[in-house]
Amino acid sequence: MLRAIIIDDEPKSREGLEAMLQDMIKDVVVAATADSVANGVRAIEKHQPDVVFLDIEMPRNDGFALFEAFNPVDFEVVFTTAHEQYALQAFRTTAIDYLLKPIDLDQLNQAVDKVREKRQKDRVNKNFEVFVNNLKNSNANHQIAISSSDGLIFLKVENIIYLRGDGAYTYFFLKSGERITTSKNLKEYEDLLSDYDFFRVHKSFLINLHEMKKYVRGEGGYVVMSNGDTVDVSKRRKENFMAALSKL
Amino acid sequence: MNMDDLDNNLLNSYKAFTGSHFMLNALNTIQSEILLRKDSDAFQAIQVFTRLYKHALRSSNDHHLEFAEEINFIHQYLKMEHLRFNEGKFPRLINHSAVPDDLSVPTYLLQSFLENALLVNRELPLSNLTVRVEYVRPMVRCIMDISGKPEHTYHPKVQEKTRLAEERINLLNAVHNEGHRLIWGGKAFCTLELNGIN
Repeated sequence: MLRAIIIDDEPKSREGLEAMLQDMIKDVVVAATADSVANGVRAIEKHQPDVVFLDIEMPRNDGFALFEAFNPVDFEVVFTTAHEQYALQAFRTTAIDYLLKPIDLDQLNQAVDKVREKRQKDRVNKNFEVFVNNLKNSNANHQIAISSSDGLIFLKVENIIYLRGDGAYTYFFLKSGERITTSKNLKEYEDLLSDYDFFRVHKSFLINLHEMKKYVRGEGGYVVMSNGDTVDVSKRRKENFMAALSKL
Repeated sequence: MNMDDLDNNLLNSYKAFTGSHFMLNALNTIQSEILLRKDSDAFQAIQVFTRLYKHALRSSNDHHLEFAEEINFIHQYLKMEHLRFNEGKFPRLINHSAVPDDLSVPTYLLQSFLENALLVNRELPLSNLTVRVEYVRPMVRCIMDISGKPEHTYHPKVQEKTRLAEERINLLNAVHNEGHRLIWGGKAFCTLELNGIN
């Protein structure tokens, strides 16, 4: 359901558009109407709408003044006016559409569809941002999805001890003692897990630094992991490995 | 300045009225009345709109029109604005009946300056617009008075249209020596003196 606010100085115009939106357009609720930009700002702050239908020519402040009150503008704007000459100026703002009065029902439908699509896209982007933030901020609870021969397996990052690459395949070694094979190369998981204290100690090994029991010095040396497995550290990666350990 | 300039100006004045936001806003009002199922209001709005449109069609080629017809046009114009805004701040026309019906005056002039005055008045809190018509043969004086606002103001919405009307006065005076006058400020917001033709 989209929440809408109508800002227009003409009462008939507000009431008419409200009736159109409520009676003829699916899934739109008019949360408030306002007769000026100042009252519109208050209504937006109170109702947090998805879309604002905004007249341009109003006494005192024109519709464009609304954009000065919000930064960023986190709602969509559809201009509604009898003045065609403002179209260019309107599209220089972040407005999603421009409707000429008297409002055509088909065009109103299209504008609402555009708003719906944009809000949906914004929601997906926002969810993705949350997902990325989770990736960065929460090692303990974060899960990754890996493809196996019969579907997706969701693994908690904290349950992975290390990964071994073998050409186009990668083997996951888990705390549970399980070994999972995937048909992606190690580099892909190195990118995915780089923010979670995983380190590529060798061209064939990516280890969870929190699952090391012991590091044994040598030319490159080797690491004993929590499950007792040993993993070689390559000579050329040793220095960076030490630097990574010092940050833990 | 010649007759072609005058004809062009009339054509532009006609376009400014019929093609302007006013007509679209009037249609929007009618659409709203229908959507709100206010049948009698919608009917009234269609009646007024039709009269305005017929007047516009009739007067598109005429530089002058009988005052009675022009004042009727102004009445309908104000009625439509009142239907649109449904507010109390609309002017009364005072004394216009003193003017002989068959006196001819230039078309579209009074409406242009009245629209400017209406818009300025709407934006002033507690102001009041009155339109007084005086007839001192052969002059028809239309005095538009906004309480507390005597100075000259073009409203940005109709600035071009108002200037077009001013140009028309100059053209009518230059081409036909008609002797019309526009006075900004003074005791009133705006005074339009039209030299009536019998």
